[in-house]
Amino acid sequence: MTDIVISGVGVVSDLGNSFTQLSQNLLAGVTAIRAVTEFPVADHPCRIASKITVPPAPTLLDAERYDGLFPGEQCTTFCAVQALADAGLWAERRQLRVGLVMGIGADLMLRWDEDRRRGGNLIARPLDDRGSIAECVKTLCELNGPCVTVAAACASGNHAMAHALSWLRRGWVDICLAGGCDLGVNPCSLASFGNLRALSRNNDSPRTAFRPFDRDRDGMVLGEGGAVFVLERGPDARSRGRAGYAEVASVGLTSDAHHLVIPDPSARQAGLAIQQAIRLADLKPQDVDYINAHATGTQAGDICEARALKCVFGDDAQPLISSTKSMTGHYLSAAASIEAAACLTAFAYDVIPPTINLVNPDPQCDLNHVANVALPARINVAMSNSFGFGGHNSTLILRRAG
Amino acid sequence: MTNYPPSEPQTLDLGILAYGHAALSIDQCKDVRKSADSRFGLSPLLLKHSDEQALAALVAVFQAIEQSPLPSDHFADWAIVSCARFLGRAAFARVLEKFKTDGAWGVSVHVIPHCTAHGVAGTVSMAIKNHGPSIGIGGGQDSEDNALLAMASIFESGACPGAWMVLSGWSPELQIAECGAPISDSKCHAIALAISPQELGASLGQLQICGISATNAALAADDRTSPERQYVGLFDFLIDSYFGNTWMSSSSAPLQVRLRFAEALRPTFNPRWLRADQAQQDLTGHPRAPLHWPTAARPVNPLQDSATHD
Repeated sequence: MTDIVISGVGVVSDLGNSFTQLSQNLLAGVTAIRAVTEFPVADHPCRIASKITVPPAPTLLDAERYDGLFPGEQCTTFCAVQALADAGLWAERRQLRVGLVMGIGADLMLRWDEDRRRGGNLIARPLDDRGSIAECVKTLCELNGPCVTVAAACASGNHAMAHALSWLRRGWVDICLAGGCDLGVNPCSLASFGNLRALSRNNDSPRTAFRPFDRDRDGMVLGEGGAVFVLERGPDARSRGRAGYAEVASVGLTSDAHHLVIPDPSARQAGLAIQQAIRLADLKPQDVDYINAHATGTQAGDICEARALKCVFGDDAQPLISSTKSMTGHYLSAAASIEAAACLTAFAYDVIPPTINLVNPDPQCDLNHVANVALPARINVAMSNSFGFGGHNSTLILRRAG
Repeated sequence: MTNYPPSEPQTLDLGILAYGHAALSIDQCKDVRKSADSRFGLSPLLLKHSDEQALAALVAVFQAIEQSPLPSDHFADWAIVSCARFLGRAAFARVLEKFKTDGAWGVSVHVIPHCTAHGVAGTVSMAIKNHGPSIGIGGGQDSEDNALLAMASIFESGACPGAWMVLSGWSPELQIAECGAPISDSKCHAIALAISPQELGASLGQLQICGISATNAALAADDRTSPERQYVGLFDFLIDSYFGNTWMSSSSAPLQVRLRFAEALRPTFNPRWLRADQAQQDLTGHPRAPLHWPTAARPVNPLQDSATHD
């Protein structure tokens, strides 16, 4: 089967609006989490997050059109343009069938909310809607292929990768942009997740609040931003002299069918998603060198993930593991995408980014942690778990390119 | 300029193994919520906060399963691909209003699991205990063709033997007051189709999804504004075929979707192509292989015989 590689990356993050900046900050253990000051939060149970500043228009685009977009549209467009330019395909995009599949869970809500804040009432007149964020990107970037928005909660970005793989393998597109973008640090979302008791209430210490796998964890901290990747067939990339950042080997996908918010404590389906990904990549568990964990810092979620990993890898053969959410915050439906970018960091720099704030590892999560400090290691296979609300389990496997 | 080899366009043939349809008024939605346990084996607490489109989707899926000759566990590892139009609009309007009056503490915790785009797929997955991937697609107008595309993508790895495609929306589109309260007499529709690439011979109908080649991609894009190029959104196509309402036009896509139902279903389910031109060619001009309809269609028309809660 033809290999599919990632040949371009675009990133919007409070840790940097480029892959290089993001990587350097992740490897330095820098956190983007801070007090929210952009809107009043005094009555919010959680008052910390990683909130981005929307990047200015890419020089390749008409700034006036870009400036008139909603922030979610701007960030996704920024990522897409940057990814295409990074792959060296911006100039050629009109001659290619460029697919676009974006993992975005709350596309409409983001736009309804932003529109209401700008004094509009789009929510009452939905037929006036100008189209999805993905369609906006497609139009602005003049892309010429199928365009889909896929939502599977926090697993959305991995689902987007799975669709892109399929389109490329079926020959429906020449290249495919895939990723996720989510701007969940807004008043309603922060309030809803906060009221759900899913967020940390460690408001006085933002930098140490997000503590995946730690005994003292008390929930996640929201982040926002996104990442978009250019995927193409390996031979096509190599014919242009590009090995690619990594090969997209497989995506395993299952559902718990257990609860709309709480993961299945047996972790059976999460484990099956991991096994499926390993099988589809034609690998064995011992081939996996590094796992970027979902690890949202909730009591139940981290234990379930550890349980799933132990079922697949056993007690004594755990690959190195870290949760970069501890630095980025939880990007919700873009989490899988920014964490795929973190895996690419490990390939590109031969260093694994750490889980920060892991001071007292939970005995129920006794995995092979890369704790607090980045670890030099040359890896060949990286795995990224994303397990969303509602039991949407997904595992992405990336392999060192060519 | 990269020299990309022209890839041969592919046509994917899929069989429709079961389908159901629901049309619920707002009052009927309340009844469905109350009967969650007896009808779906779900906690009424779960459906208390579900969007009406999730309720209609459940009714449609359960109807399809009941009317299918296949055992319900046949679908256990299937995917669920939902495409709900403007899901959670009324509920989110209430959230915005409550936030304005009550601040952060007034914001419901239910809006995220129930009203984000995967809400319908997640609810159906729980109700029928499906362990394949469950996803929401699109969300705005006319994104049903994207649901078909997504479904076809899921089959590529071979990990899923089939998928439920669940399309839902209000007809006519629900009008809401600023506080989110419904102020129009609309019905919430859902259509559930059980689709598999593996069981064409036993299917009730067929779907075709046709790709395009690299050479005509630009042509297809230019052609997008042509009236002949436009086709109706799939959901409206299905609803209108059944209820005879006015068609709505859809944005075009560079993949072509065609749908036909088996001979036995034609009297009620008009097998119109989604594209205006019904040429027996794919978009590249290549001759299309004839569809192979099942020789023994089901004796009963599930749509004709179904109670649609009207």
